[in-house]
Amino acid sequence: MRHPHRASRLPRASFALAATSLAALLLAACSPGEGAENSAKPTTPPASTGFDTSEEVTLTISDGWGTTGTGELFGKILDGFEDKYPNVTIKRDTTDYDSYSQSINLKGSSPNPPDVMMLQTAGYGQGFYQFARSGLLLPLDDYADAYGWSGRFGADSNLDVFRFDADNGDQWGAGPLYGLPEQNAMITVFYNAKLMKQAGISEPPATLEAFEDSLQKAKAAGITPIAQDNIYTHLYMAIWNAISGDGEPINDWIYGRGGSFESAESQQAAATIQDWQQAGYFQNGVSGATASDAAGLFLNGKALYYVAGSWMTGAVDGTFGADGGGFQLTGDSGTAPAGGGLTTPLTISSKTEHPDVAAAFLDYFTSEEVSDQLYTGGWGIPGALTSDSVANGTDLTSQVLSILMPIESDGGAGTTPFLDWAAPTLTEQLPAALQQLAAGKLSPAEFTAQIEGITSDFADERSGS
Amino acid sequence: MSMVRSTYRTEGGSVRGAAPARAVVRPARWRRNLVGWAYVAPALAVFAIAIIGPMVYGVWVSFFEWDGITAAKPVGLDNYASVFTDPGIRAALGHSLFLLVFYSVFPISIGLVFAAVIARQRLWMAPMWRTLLFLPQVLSIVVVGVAWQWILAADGPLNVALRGVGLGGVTRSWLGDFTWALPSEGAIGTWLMSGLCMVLLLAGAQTLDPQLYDAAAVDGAGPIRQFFHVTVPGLRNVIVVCLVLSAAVSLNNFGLIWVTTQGGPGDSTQVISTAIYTRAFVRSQLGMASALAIVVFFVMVGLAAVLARRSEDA
Repeated sequence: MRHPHRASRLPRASFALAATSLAALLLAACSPGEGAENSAKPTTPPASTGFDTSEEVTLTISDGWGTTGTGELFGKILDGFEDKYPNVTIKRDTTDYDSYSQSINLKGSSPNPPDVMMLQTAGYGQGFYQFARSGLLLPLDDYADAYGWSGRFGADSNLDVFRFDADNGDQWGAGPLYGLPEQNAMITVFYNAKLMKQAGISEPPATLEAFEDSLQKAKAAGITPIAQDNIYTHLYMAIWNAISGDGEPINDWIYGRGGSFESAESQQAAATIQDWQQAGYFQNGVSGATASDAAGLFLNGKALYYVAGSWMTGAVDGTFGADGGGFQLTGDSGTAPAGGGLTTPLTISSKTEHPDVAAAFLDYFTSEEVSDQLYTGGWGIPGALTSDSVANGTDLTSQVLSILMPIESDGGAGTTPFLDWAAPTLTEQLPAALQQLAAGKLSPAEFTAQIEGITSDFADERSGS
Repeated sequence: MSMVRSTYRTEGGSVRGAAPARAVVRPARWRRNLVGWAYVAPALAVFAIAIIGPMVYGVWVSFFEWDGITAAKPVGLDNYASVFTDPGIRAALGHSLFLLVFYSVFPISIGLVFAAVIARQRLWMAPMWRTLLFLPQVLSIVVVGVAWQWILAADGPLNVALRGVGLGGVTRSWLGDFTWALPSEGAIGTWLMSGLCMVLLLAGAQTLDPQLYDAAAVDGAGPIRQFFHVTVPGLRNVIVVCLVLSAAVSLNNFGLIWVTTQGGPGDSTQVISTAIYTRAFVRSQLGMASALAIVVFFVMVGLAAVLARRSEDA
């Protein structure tokens, strides 16, 4: 970021210089970002599962996993790909997750982007939306056919989150496929079985009603019911899905196909968060708690529940063993759509000179072999569900997988993607609004109206362009 | 003594290299300027590429609606209009002005009192106090932020101390509280800036003529009157310097806010610098962010100019 107020007084000569450079810029007369758009609508090359293994190839990959933990594991997977194809050298470019979006937007739209790019969202989320609509990503459907990716990720409709139709009103969820998932991230209620016993709760509650009873019991027993961070998005998704019971209306709204956020169900979910905050079901100081504060509280055995994505599976297993469990909140009917799903797409740049090698990497990354490696390495639940070690994994893994099961076939209540994929600015604005809701600064009706306002403004912008 | 010949004279007419007196031609003005320009050219080139270029580009971008990836749409002055009408930005501006009191007014008042006390009295171990009060200026802003985050946390030392004296009722997660997060940020700012202001004012106070105090004392002025009628007017110029410096820090305090609250809870600690950042890099509204940055730039330059003029008048 520039610090404009640092340069306090400009000498006269600099003004002349500034004027000259301004004139030069005006002469060049190109709007910012014009270069990016030029490459729109790439011609899809003939997809092939093979490539010339005698030619030396350098594949550049950009990701946000850093160099420790999952980042280290990803490095090993890249090494495995290089071992498999000795003619391929991978040049990896990684930054930490939180600052990744700033760098990838610049890198991905530069004249010389990485061949393979990890993106942090799908749908209308920050990054994926802009990349997909401006033709910076390579359509993968031909590779999907050539490699036979159908069935690898459960029902084929699961991959729809990575589809985007730039030719048809920028509609998300339809059109060409632009990415393959890094993992299955299902919103899960993790629990500590020891504390559950202490609170006198006989079995993990499934329905929202039973869950609320258990919160009260825990509170009465002097146990912090929920370790919560001040983002609230995942908790809201879990409650909203349980109250709705059906994914269809939620998805209509998230995918921007119609519907409204100002429904009775979403207001009820908002009211529930307010009630729980007032009842003291979250730890003391929740309004200042980050995601890692909340996770730490739960993993230290100081709270009964923690609502997060299934990426916590490995950590919960490793800390509590058999005492760690997970379930999904459902409505009275006993079903609810799973929140989350396939996420963090790996995409290929439309400007790549080695599309076949890049596609081979995506195939390798979602193969059975690497899925095993990811799962046993503590990555979470891999995107591909074909791995044996996932199927024969820990009790917690099978509990988390049972949240996924209804969506393996096209039946069931389906999945609803992450809420902040409904508009590019929600990454920042949804948590801010949820914080105001939890603190009682916004009523449930005001909260839903505010979010609906953001997404309908965005819908206008989309149809206007 | 005609033998003694002044040899230098015989050679005098043809001293090699000496120009005729009338021909003392100085290099042309443009030529001298050229040499000057050549000297500053390297610095100027760096300045132009690193500062002026991006600034001009920022002005250019501010006339577009641009997400940093797709082609930009020219929108004229719309971004500037939004700067003054967007409720989020207006709130951020209000928060910045609120913080200005904590970053400027309080530190200067505290600094003045300390400076007056330390300058007039022989305070026990004065160098140690001076060093301690100046310490925040030496620490990295991230260290300051993380340390205060810990101090102000729900189970942090501040709350432990409050409970210890029976004030358990007022404990809270200070930086997570809608009402108290911004004043908490302000308190950190006061802590941060007081030492700097004190050192500057102290240096100024030592240049004041002691006879003025003596004269005031003879006229019957007590320490408080002396403070308001001798110390404060005498330090007017230094106070202006403190004001400009602390105002700049206040509007530039991105690091502290980002480390401690990231503008939350809700938008309650969103200030101008974090608003520029979130609009540019979280919401990808680069045109809007540029327009806001440029407005702040001119406000800052204007403020500095007015203050500088006032101090010259004084």
